[in-house]
Amino acid sequence: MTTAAPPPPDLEPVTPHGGRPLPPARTRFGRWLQRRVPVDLEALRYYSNEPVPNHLKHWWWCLGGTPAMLFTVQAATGILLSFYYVPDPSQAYESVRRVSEVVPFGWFLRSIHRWSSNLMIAAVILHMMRVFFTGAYRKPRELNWMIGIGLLGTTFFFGFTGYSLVYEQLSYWGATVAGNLTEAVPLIGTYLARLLRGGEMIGDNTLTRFFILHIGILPALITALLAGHILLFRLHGVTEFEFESARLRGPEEKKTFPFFPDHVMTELIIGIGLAFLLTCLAVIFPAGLAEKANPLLTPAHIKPEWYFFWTFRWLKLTGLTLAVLSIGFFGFLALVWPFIDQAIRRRRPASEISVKIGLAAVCALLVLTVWEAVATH
Amino acid sequence: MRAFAGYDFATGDKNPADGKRQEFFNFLPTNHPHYGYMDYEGWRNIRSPYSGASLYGQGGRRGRPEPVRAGPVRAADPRRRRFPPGLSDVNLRVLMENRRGFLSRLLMMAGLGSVAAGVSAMATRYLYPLKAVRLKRRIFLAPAADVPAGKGRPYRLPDGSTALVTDTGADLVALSDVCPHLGCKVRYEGAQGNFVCPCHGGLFEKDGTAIAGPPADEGKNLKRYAVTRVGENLFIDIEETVQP
Amino acid sequence: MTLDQKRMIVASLSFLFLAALLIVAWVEGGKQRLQPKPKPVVGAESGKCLQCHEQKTPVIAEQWKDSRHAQLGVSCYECHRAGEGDRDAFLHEGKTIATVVSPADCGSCHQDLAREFEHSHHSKAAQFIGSLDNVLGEVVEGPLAAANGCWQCHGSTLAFAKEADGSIRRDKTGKPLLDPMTWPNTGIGRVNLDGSRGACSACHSRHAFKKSVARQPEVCGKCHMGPDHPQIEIYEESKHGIAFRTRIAEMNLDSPSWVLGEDYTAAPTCASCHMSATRNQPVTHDVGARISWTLRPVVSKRLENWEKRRESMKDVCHTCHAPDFVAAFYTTFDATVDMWNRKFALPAQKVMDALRARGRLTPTPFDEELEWSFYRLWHHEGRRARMGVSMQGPDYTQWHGFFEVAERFYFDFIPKAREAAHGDPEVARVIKASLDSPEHAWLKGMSPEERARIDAFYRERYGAEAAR
Repeated sequence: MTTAAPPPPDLEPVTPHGGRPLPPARTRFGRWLQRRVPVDLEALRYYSNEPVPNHLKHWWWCLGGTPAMLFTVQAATGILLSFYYVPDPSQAYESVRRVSEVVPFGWFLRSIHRWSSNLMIAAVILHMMRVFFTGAYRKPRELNWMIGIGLLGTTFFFGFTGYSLVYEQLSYWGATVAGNLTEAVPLIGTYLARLLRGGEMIGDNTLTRFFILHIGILPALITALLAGHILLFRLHGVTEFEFESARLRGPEEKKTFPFFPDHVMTELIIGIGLAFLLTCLAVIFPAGLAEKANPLLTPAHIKPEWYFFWTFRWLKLTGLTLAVLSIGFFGFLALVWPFIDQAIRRRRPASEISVKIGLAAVCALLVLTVWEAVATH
Repeated sequence: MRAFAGYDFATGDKNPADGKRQEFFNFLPTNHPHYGYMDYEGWRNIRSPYSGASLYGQGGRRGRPEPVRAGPVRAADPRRRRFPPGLSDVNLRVLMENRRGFLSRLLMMAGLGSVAAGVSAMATRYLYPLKAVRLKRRIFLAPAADVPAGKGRPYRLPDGSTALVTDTGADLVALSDVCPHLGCKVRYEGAQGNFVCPCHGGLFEKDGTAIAGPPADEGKNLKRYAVTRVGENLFIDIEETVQP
Repeated sequence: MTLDQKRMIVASLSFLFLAALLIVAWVEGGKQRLQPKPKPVVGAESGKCLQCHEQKTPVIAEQWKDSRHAQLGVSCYECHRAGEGDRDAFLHEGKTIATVVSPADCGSCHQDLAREFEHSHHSKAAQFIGSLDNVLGEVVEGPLAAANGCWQCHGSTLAFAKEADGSIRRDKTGKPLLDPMTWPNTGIGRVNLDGSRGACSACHSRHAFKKSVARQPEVCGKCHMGPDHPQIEIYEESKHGIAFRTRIAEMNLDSPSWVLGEDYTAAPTCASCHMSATRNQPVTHDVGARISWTLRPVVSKRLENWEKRRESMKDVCHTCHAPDFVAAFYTTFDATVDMWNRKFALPAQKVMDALRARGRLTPTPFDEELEWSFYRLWHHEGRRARMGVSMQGPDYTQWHGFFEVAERFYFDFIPKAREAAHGDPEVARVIKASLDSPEHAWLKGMSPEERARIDAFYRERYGAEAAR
């Protein structure tokens, strides 16, 4: 027998559709898998291992990942909570009470969900501030800033629908105030409010709507926005900054470090740290349950969650319609801010006005929030 | 790859004052694994199980196989390390780096793994239903006058089953009307003074004992409830399953 | 930071997190899980009742579901069932039922309680028809004042509404209609159509029949209040009431067993002293069983078997107070009631008797101002003073009590009696004799020493100015 045996069929290189032939995997199982999932690992490694600028070694620059991680926590705990939650006005509160008091570890999951939502909003705001003050939203990243504003809005909407589901006093009266705010929108307000509430006033439809928004529509929306956000960010690469310290160190120093495993490990540290923090918060300050929603009894002092304090104070200062219009206007300004900034810089290239405007906005929001927090009514 | 396990045991003295020595005496102490530096003390009064694994893999940069060990690592002082013969200083550095890398990986995986296990256990406990609770209680059944002598009267119980309450003349009995054979409805035949199942002719005494037909063959009696008379009223003891 | 260091950080954070999770598990392990509440048992006949009544009277259905009865399978029909021969029975959706549930119905299960209640003063509350109070309500004020006022506490005598020809008025379904003057009524001495007396719902409000309702003072306060017998106000003024209001959360009012000193120690309520169990005696529904004086009439008397009754009450007192403390209280309480009798009640009574005997008053009650004055003296002010001291309410003993008694007696009753006497010497002699005792000696003027003492007191306490 001198004829050379043909190579076993499993050693023939696999070619993904429209790609280059892949080098055969080493093990038999590897080759079996490669034939079924023809992924170009080289390419994958290339795309997933982009070099990351050194400044990402500063913790301050790692905030972008935290909302995404907290969102994962929210998704996991949220799915678990929805196993016991009943979106019916007559049973919602009781089902939340049952999760908190009867179901094993229910109180823990609910507390984690609640704390994580608070941290998520805080993380989104911090991330946004970092991006703003470092000017990372500038050309060519304007669109990603706009997606970011969308994510911010979605996160707020998540928070609002979330605490409405508990169906305690704050839930009901918070939803009432939100409905009235929506009604104050000129022209379309009444229709919008009806659409949101599923009726003229808060009723059986409202809770179902909020529930579907909270567990269906908003998660889908935030996933899509998040995917776009990360995609754009990945395509542009991390914004590179000039640092005094780096300049001093000289050009021979490497300016980047690998995304995997170095940066992933940093994010892992943050992730585990967050999980630890959330657990501690959940044990020390577990999510309570206030009085059940009572449509006949408006509580004397009702306050929304802290992240809506500024809107609440603004509402009290300006009145319904003006507040709605001005908040809409500010929201729009925030959305198109990269273009405004561009226009300003075209006229006065050295202008630092954007930082000043940002500081003013942060101060204003902070003052409104603190004011509402300390005010008794 | 090598796996190992062992158990060190040395007796202690139950009562040091009784003049009886029950302690293990270690003539030449080899105690570093247990006490670290201290070799003045021999093994005594210890129980110490241990286990571990060693791994030999591609460790060196020169492609030469280098041993990489893992196992219960005790506090080590490099000054006290006895080098294996033939290992140069450079090789030692490589060996130690690899060991550190391996160790941190192992610890990280162990940490993340146990966290994942813990969280999954919690989630499972959360989703797994609580044990149903058996509740016993005595409930009001009827005024005693409502149960006619010699006739069975059915009462629906909260769990959906029916109790056939019968004044047999001598006694008040409450029996489940479900035949233990195949679940047909049993009725009281006043004339004969016993319970009959119409399906397969099962026959039961007044107290529910099976006397003929398939239930008697299988030795299955009618389920009996306790009935108590309080004043003019009858109360029945029921047991129900409640899912918390 | 090297990768290796990062991995070590991840590892240590993971173990930290794991420790936190263990704490979570420990917290979970220590959680008190509520025992599942058994579902309400709807009796065989009552399922149909609920089908309608959950829609038409949802509150009744819900309150019942919340009751102990619901847990025991005592539902609509068990209580509302009626015999064919019952006077108020009617056919409703195929069942013979009655609207009013009487103590006889409740007593078919709660025999002992019903028996105790039957012997109590409470069950006889509607038997006041011949009394002056009833004349006042029904005649002087008007029948509606009696129906909506007096009878709502004392209890009505249930009667059917009548047609012009005297037959019982019925609705379309044949249900006999009750006289609206007599029903709705939860007066405690209600005379029911089956002849039984009382209304358990007076204290155990339907349809939840919570023990807690009957244990808290407000339920008694529906009737035991106001100018003639302000027991609830006296209680609220007393240390007992203050303690209750302050520590209401610690009262364990819902507990099945409610023994003073065992199940609760925060404060006593009306029920605690007059009815509820102590460590030595069981609960009683004979509410007067621990009362030794009657403070109701003009002249207070010790009740039959008063020593035994007092021992029962003292047993309650001794749960919280030392024997000397209790003995001292009873010494002054008895003496105060005696003082009322001797100083005001007996003299006033004698004057009234003399006036009547001499024909100076008409036989008709309440047609002369003096009769109103006398009535206020003993029925309102005199009772306030006596009840005030009996339940340790200082203000009701004195300012709302003896102060008003004194004013009424000296400056309203006696002058009016003199006027009514029209110079009748016999009456004048009785009035003079009444005021002759040493207690009334002060009327003849205080001694200079006494005046000097009062003067000195004011000088010292409020200064020279006030001494005038």
